[in-house]
Amino acid sequence: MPASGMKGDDEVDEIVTFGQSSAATGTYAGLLALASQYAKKEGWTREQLMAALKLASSRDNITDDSEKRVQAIVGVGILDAYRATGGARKVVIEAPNQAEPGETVTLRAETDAVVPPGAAPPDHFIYRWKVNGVRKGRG
Amino acid sequence: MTIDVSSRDTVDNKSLTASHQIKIGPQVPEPQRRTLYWSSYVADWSTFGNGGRYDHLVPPGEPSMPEGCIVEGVRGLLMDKIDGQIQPARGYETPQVSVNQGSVGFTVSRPEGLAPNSLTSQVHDWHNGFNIVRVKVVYDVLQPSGVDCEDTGGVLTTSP
Repeated sequence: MPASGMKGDDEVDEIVTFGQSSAATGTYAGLLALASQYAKKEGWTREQLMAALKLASSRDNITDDSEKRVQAIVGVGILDAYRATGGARKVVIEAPNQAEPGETVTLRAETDAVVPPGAAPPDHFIYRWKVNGVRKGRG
Repeated sequence: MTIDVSSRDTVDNKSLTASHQIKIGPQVPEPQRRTLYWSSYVADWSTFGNGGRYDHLVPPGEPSMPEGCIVEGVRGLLMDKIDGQIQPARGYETPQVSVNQGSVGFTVSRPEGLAPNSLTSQVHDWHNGFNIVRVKVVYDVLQPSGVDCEDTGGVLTTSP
C-alpha cells in the first residue's frame, strides 16, 4: 500500500509502502466506515451491521504459500465491500424443473445481496422476467 | 419453457441475469427396483457317492415378466432343508452370483441375447459325493410404473 512516511527523524518521504496487518488495519477501518454508512441508510442495528459484514465475507480465495486453501485462523475471510454496501454479484431463479400442462408454478428470483437477520431485503433491485424470450413482467 | 430474469441495481445500474428451464409434460413416475425370487429351485445330488457338476437353463418353459419389466441382474441363493422346509442355507441368506461352500457351490448368470423381461438364467452348480446342492435364482428387476413384474403366473415370488 503506498503512503507518505518519515525518512529519518525529520524528513517526510514522498512515498513509502507498507503491508500485512499494518495495511489491513487502515483498509478495514475504511471498509467498515463505508459499510456503516450503508447500514445507517438501511436502518440496521449494530448487530445487523456486524452480521452483514460476516455475510459479505468469504474465505474462498485465501491460500497459504503452497496455494492450499486456508480455513482456520483467518476469521470470516475477506470482506466484499460491494456486497456489504448493498451490491449483488449474482441472481438465481428458484423454480421447479418440471411442471404439468396447465399447472401453476411459482418462480422466485433472488440476488446474493446481503440481508442480515431481521432486516428487510434491499428495495433498489428491479426484476424483469421473460418467458421463452417474451417479456412477461417486472417488479 | 425458458425463464429469464434480469435484476438491475438502481444504485449503480448494474444488471445481473439468470436463466432456468422448466420441462412441461406429464410427470413420469420413477421405475421401481424390486428383488424377485424364482418360486422353485434347482437340485442336484450324488447317486453313486460321486461328485458332479451341472448346467441348467431355468425356469423351464422360458417364462417372461410383463412387457416393460427389465432384468438388471441375476443372483442365486444356496438353499437347504431346515426343519423340513427348503429355505436359504444358514450363513448364505444374501443372494450372490457365486457361492463356494466347499462341498457344494454354484454360479448364476444371464445368457446373452435375451429379451429384457426374459427370466431365463443359467445355473452352474456342483456337489461332492455326500451333499445335495439346491439353488434358487434371484432377479434384480426394474419395474416401470403401473406394471407388476411379479405377475408371471406363479413363476416369481417376493420372498425365498
